[in-house]
Amino acid sequence: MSAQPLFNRPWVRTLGLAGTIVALFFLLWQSDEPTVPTDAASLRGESEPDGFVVNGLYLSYDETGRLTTRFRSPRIEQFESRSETVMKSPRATLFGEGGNPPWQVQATEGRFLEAEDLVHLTGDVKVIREAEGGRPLTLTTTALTMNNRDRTVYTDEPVALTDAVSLTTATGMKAWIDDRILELDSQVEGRYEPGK
Amino acid sequence: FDMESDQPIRVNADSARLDDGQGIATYTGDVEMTQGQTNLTADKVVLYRDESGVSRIEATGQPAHYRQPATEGQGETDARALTITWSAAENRVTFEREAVIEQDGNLFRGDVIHYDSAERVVTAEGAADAGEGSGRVEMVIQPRNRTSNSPSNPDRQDTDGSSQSQ
Repeated sequence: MSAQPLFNRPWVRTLGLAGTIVALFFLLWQSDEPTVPTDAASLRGESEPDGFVVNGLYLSYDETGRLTTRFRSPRIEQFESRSETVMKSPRATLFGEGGNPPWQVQATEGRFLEAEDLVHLTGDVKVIREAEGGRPLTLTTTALTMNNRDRTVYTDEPVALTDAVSLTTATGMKAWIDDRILELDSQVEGRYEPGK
Repeated sequence: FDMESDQPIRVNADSARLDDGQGIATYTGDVEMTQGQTNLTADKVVLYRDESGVSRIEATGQPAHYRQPATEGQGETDARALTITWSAAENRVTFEREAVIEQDGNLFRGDVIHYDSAERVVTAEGAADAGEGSGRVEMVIQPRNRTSNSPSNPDRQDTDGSSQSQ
């Protein structure tokens, strides 16, 4: 049975015509919409970085190839024009020289300035370090800058330092990561628990 | 300072330098250390810590000043020197250079004075070489309940070398 008799029936021709009109209408409606896929735009984010990494890992080595810094962040955004990298909730590990225990660093946000090799950490900044005898030393502040080049960490903000037997607070601080030396700038208050 | 006490040692200063590797904390500028009523003020205090906690305290000042409160039967101890050193192992405070200790109205002056803060025993020495200090020890001991002796002329002893008093 050939298809010719099928097309002679009026309802088949009407149905076909209706389908064509609907398809034409759909195509017209689609044509003025942008063709960029919506999920990529939302992934890129409002700040429209030049590049971004989700759940990324950032590593830094010294000239001998020794791993000095490791940053992990759920979202890293890079801005070419400013040579700047912004990290959400960064978690970093700073490896000391000569087998010194590493520093663990975390914050709400981090900004890495490539040109100066500086990392600015802001928001609930916490630095945890195994101190002598294995007692962890914890430093908390609201903002902290890490200089990868001269391996220092510093802030002008109030800081609190706690370990197993003491609590020390001050305003302003600078620390030399590899030498394990820390200077407190002003208003220093210490409290030691004897023999704890 | 009493390492057996559960009272904390508090330190206030203008600035500080903490050497985490060595366990040394150096406080400078208007430094004040207190534990309960015991008090130490100095220009600079170096605090040494080991696994068991604070092991040694070195204070320097113009002069450094140490006060220990009165307890039953013992008056307050008020001591000054250019250098004051406290050692946990010996539980002893050593006052060096222009050292003066006042206790219960008694006065001890010498180049080096050791003070056993547990037993409250004072041991004073003149400087070995008399170049710097006077090389002598001076003690002024208040007589106990003796009315005949006028307070203006208490027993006064001047010795060269060391002497001990309780």
